[in-house]
Amino acid sequence: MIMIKFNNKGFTYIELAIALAIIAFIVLAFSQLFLSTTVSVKSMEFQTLAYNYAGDKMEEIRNEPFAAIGNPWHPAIWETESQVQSGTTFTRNVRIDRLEDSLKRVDIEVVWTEGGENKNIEISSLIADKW
Amino acid sequence: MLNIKDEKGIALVLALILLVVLSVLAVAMVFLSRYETKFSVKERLSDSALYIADGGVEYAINELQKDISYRGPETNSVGNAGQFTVSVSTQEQPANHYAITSTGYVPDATNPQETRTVTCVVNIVQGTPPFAVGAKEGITVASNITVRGDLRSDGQIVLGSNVFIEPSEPGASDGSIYTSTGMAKGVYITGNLYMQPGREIRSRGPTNASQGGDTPATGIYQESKIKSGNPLIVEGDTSGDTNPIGSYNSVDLGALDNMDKVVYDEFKDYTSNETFNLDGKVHKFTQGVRFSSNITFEGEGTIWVSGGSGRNYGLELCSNVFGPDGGYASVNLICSGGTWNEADIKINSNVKINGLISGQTEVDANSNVQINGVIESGGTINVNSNVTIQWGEFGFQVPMTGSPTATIVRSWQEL
Repeated sequence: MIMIKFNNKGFTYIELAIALAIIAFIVLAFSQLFLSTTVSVKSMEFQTLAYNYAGDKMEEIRNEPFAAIGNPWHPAIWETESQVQSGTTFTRNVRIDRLEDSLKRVDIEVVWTEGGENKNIEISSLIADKW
Repeated sequence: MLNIKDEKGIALVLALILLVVLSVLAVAMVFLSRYETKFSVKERLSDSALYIADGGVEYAINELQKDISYRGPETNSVGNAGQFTVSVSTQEQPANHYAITSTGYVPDATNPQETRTVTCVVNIVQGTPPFAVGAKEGITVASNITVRGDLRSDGQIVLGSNVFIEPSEPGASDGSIYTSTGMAKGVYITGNLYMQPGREIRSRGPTNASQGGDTPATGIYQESKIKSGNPLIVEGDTSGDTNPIGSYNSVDLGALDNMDKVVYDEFKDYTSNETFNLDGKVHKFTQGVRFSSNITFEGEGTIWVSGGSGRNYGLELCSNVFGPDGGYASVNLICSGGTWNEADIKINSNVKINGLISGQTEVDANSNVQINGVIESGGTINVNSNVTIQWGEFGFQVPMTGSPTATIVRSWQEL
């Protein structure tokens, strides 16, 4: 009868330490990846919210009669509004520039604070006075 | 000999495999999420490019409204957000329709991260000329003429007997006569003239009796023959807005040429008793055309003579030219070129037309002619007897130069 001889020795401390180090390294790398992804997903959510907030206004302005858009004598900020979404305050600034009597530029900027940092996005378009 | 029954250690292998699979899944999830966020940024930038492309369309509409010949291509910035490149085409479009193509770039056209292109067809409806009869060099009308609308000329207007100048429709304010000639007898009233109350006759003729006038103000000759309406007479008129049209040829020939058309490269003579199907097209005759008697025009369209020579008329309609069932033919008659012995356009007797009649140097209409639309000439217009000219919209649209009256967006789509 052949007996298989088992090695009953345990892991050495060295082996254990190395294994732990490797695991720690891997976990650390992963956590870094997870963390940065979470942050960027959150940041992206904010950006999407901001763009949607700006886009809503653009559509609204497009549907208004040309004369009603903007302040005819003051080509500066025409309207400022704020909205809280996902626990963050988004502020929307609408600027109307009268390029010509029959052509206006609409700039819509949305600003918010993210991790103590000020962020902003801006969309722009032109609107003509159609006969 | 190998003992295959020894399964010890398989747990470790399984655990490792499971660990690897889970790790791969986790990494995949992370990357998917990152990719999604990246894609989301791209999409937002792309939205931004779309707003800029839309802005380009609006820009082109504004330019077209100012100058209908605007075609681009042009690249412009929209604030700091991006740039657009816009161009306009009339190729294969109906009259007065303009296809605008605009591409929005973020952040700029030279190194765009995102690009969106939209195309929009707008119908910019040009105003029908604000007169029923308008000629740069002069208008002569003979007897039994009714004009519903204004008469305008830079030259002399001679009115025969029994001429009725009426508003184009009840309640309309037109039905006046304007000339901006510098000669004596700017408006020469030779027979009975009937007008409606509240109208006017304005002439810029000189206020100089030695030039043959009946009064020291010679711009309007023989006002005594005005039988009704008691119009306001203004001689030596200096107002700037009585004759706003610099050039009477108001057809946009370039745009006309881009319309769906049939080209005839030799002189065509359509014999009697024929039916001509206009088929919603521009029929371009590069050497002239003549329609004999008893011609029926079916459908609607434009007859355009662009050149030719050696004949009396560039575009001749003989007698009995009607639409279906003896009604109005829905046709525009345009002669924009050629050298003709007598006139660009000759309309003989018994003709009914709904449309624009536009000649380069001379347009003649003989007897029993009814026109629903406008007659204009870069030179003179001669109208004989029993002619009625009713100002109105054209049956088949003609591309016109001039001030737009309406801009209608027909389609707006992304390419």
